[in-house]
Order: sequence, then structure tokens, then C-alpha cells
Amino acid sequence: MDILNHILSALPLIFSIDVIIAMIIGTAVGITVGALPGLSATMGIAVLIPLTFSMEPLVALGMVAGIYNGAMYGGSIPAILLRIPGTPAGIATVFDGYPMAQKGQAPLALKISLISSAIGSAVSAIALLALAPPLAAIALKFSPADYFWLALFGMTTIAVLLSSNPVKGLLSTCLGLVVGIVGIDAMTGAERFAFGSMDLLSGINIIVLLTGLFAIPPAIDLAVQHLSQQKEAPIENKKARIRWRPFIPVWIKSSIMGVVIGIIPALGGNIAAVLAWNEQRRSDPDNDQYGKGEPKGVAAPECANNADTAATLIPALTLGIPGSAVAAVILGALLVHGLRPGPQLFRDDPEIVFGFMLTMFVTAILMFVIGRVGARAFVHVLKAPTMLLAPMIIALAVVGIYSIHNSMFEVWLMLFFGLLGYGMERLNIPTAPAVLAVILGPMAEESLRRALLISGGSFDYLVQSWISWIIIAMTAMTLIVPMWKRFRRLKPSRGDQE
Amino acid sequence: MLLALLLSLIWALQSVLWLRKSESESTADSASLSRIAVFTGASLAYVVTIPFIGYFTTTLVFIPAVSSALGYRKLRILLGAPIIFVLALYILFSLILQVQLPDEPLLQLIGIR
Repeated sequence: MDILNHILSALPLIFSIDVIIAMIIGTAVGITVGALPGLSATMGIAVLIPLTFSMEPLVALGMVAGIYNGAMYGGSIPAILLRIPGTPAGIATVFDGYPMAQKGQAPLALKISLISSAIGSAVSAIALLALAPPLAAIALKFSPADYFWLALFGMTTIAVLLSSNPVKGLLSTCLGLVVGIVGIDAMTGAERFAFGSMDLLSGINIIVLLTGLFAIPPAIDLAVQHLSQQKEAPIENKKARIRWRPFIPVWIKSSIMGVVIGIIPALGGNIAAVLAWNEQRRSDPDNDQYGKGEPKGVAAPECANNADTAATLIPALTLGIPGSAVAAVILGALLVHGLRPGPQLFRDDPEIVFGFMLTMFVTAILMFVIGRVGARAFVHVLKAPTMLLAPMIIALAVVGIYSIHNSMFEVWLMLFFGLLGYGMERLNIPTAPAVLAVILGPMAEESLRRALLISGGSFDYLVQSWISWIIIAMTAMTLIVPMWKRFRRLKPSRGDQE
Repeated sequence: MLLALLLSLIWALQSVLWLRKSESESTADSASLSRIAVFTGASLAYVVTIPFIGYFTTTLVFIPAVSSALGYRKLRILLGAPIIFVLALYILFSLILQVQLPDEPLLQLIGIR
């Protein structure tokens, strides 16, 4: 087996001391970031990427994996204790977690959440290891034309599915496309949108955009947030014993749901968690306890939202198509280290891809250990003053961006994107499609022009393979289905007032 | 790729119309608006001053200034946390990562660096 060989050769790399320390720090930071309401994995990774700039790729990626997994669990801490989900994916944990805490079972709820999260993450990482390499092998057979359509498919799905209003999503995508073409044209050497500025010639660094869009708006939100000190549920140190056997089917079902939902672009951990909770409630014979503090109602969503993590990376790593904001940020991290996501990555740098996938698995276990050891500390994170944190995030983002190229210009650019992103968020325009378009736009352009080179300028080449046709059909579906739905919704409601 | 620009202009127009139709009520109250103004204003001022008096000096002033402007009042943490934070950044960026940050005339005056 080729895959096993790759895994075995990547194993010693992960267990070097640097990578282990990076994973531990990453996981701890991730849980902390996730536990702070308003901060998410996306923001944590976006701020930290510039700091990992000078590290070895695997060290940086191990840290990223830790943050990603840790934040998903961290989100459940305030969900259980304060009834505020720390990350969007923690919403469903509130349903049963907070009632449990009110009954004085907060430590038990946290423990269930931790174990379920760790299991979800581990299953997800295994799914990633098992599914990604064969998919990459298939993807290697794609022609440039197929790639062009695939990039287009990625952009449309995110634009349409991620926002309630497809127009806003597509608008965001177009912004990204424009940002993506700034700089020197790789094929002809022409300057595009550089406005004669030296700083813009080399294009807009993806990290500048990522940090701006994903780190600044949460910082502003933190600063604005009025401190509504919610009553904290009492944490008694009661030793609670619980039988774990009834949880096993819950874990199996929820992790499978999480993995499947994670693979589909634009469906994130929050959807996985809510669906898993609903399914658990529906299938349990005595379901009147759900929503009132049923332990299985904590296990299901937590397991599902963590099972989503590595699965989201399957299309991102194999095809280069990120399905969510976090995946886009992680792709950004890969790009910083000169790794181009896509099937070639599996062929050219197998140690790093397999190493990264393995760190996703190892951090799942680390998360359990760190979560147990540091349980008390992470609960105290909730008391951190947001007014102090907000300027610290700005300071970190500024120094991080500055340190990439020692350029004040990029710091300004980052702030500009930050304000732009904040404005977009206030107008309910999602920022993730823009980031995706910055990554996918150049990919679409490159493959389109390569396709035209191969065919000698004839556009027929674009619609010649059956893979192209499947992807075109899928793109058309994502565009038509919401329109059709809206049309159907509009018809009966024409009479009543909106 | 000029097409993309054209398309985004069309969409921009479309969404302006859309927004005009749908968003009639303003969502922000004046209190949070002033907080946004204070925070973003301070951040911009922060970045403006970095090239002149250096990153660490500005950060040392910026964090407590903004926090107190936003209404944080615990004096010990207000002064202590930024010092620890800046020290950690100094160790990470200047000692470990060896990033060349702008000069620190004020800190040099006291004899640090």
C-alpha cells in the first residue's frame, strides 16, 4: 500500500520535538480562542500564520491543526457554562449543555463534550487519511479544462450557500477576483491593477487579506461588545460517574454525519452539530429529556462538529477547493510555505501532506489530554477582559504582518481589508467567498489559459471531457436550486406583508 | 479577466439597489458606534506612529490607552498585562524570530535596546 508507506515515512517527522511543542501550543491556544466568545478558529489561525512564517512547514501546520481542533472543543466551554457558544459550531451544544450546567452537572457536561470532541476529531482525521489520497489520485487525471470548471464550482457553491442572499455572496466573490488579479500577470508579465505602485506589483499577499478580513472584524466586535456579565453556572467539584457504553452509538452516528457534512463545501460545523443533535433526539426512544440537560444531547453535536474539522480539509487538500473560511485560511497557511494545494501536493510533498493529516489525528488526542489537565484554566479564560484583548489582537496582527516582508505598506493594506471586512459583515455580506475567490481566481485563470494554449485558442476544448460536464452540471445546480426555491417561496407569500 | 471587473460593477449596482430596498432601519445605536470610532481611530493612529517611535513603545501605550477608553478600570491589570504582553512579543519577534522592527528612540533613551 502506497498510502501506508507515506504515513510511515511521515511519522518520524511529526514526532520531532519542534512539531510536538507546536502541536501542544496550538491545541492550548485553540481551546482558549474557541472558549472566548467572538473569537473563532479562523481568526486564531489568521493571526498566527504570519508568526509561523519562518518556521518549518510541518511545525507551522502542526500548530494550525492544533488550533483548528482545539477551537472546536473550546467553543463548547462557554456554551455549557454561559449559554453563549464560543464559536458558531457550539450553538447546538447550548441546547443540552447549559441545562446540564444549571443542574450542577457542568463538570460532567464538559467532560462529555471533551471526550466526544476528541473522538469526533480522531474519526475525522482517519477519514481524511483514508479518503484524501485516492481522491488526489483521481484528481491528478483532471485536465486544465476540468480544473477551470472545478474552480468555478468552488466559487459558486461558497457564494451561493454561505449567505442568505446569493447576490451578496457573488458580490463578495467578485471582490476577491479583483483582488486576486492585482500584480504581474504570470504568463505575459503585464502589470494589472498595480496603479504604478511598487508595493502592489507582486500582488496582494493572501496572508495580508486573510488577517485583515478574519482578525480585525472580531477584534472590533470585541471592543464594541457591551460586557453583559451573564450569570455563570456553578461549578461544583462533584465527582460524577457515568456509564459510557450508551454513548458509543451516538458517537458513531454523529461522527459519520460530521464527516459527510464536512466534505460538502459550504456546510460547516454548526450545521453538522445542529443536524446531529436533531437526529439524536429523533432517534432516541425517550426523547422528552432533550433540551433539558440530556448528556447524549451534548455528546452528539460536539462529536459532529469536531468530526467536521478534518473532513472539511478533504476537498481543500486534494482539489485545492476550500469549503469554508477555516479551510481557506489553512490553504493560506500552506501557500505561505510555498505549498500549492491540489493533487500535485500529494505527489510532490507527500511527507508534508501526510504529516499534516497525521497532526490532525495527534492533536485530537492531545486535545483530550490538554483539555483534562487544563480544565480549570480554560474555564477562567471566560473572565478575560475583552477590552484588553481587542487591542492585543490588533497589535499581534500588525507585528505579524509587518514581519513577513518588513513592510508598513502591507500593514496598512491589512487594516484596510479589516475595515472593509467589518463593513461587509455589518451589511451581512460574507467575507469567506472573497477569500476563496482570491485563492481560486488565479487557479481558474491559469487553467483556463493553459486549456486554451493546449487547444490552440479553441473554446471547444473546455466542454470536451465528461468530467467537465459533471462539474458544469453541479455548478448549474447550485445556482439554480436557490433561485427556484426563492421563486417557489415567493409565489404563495405574494399576498401577505413581508 | 476584465470581465470579472465588469461583473463586479454590475453586481455592485444590483446590490446597492437591493440594500436600498431591504435595509431601511439602521442597526447600530450611538453608544456602540462611538466605541467603533474610538477603537478604529486608535488603531489607525497606532499604525501611523509605529514608524516614528517604534513598535514596542507604541504598543505599550496603545493597549492601556484603548482599554481604558473602552471603559476598563482595573489599574493593576491595565498596566501589568501590556508589559507582559510586550515582553513576550519582544522575546518572540526580536530574539527568536529576529525580525527587524522599526527603531525605538524612546526605549533607547532609557537604555533598553
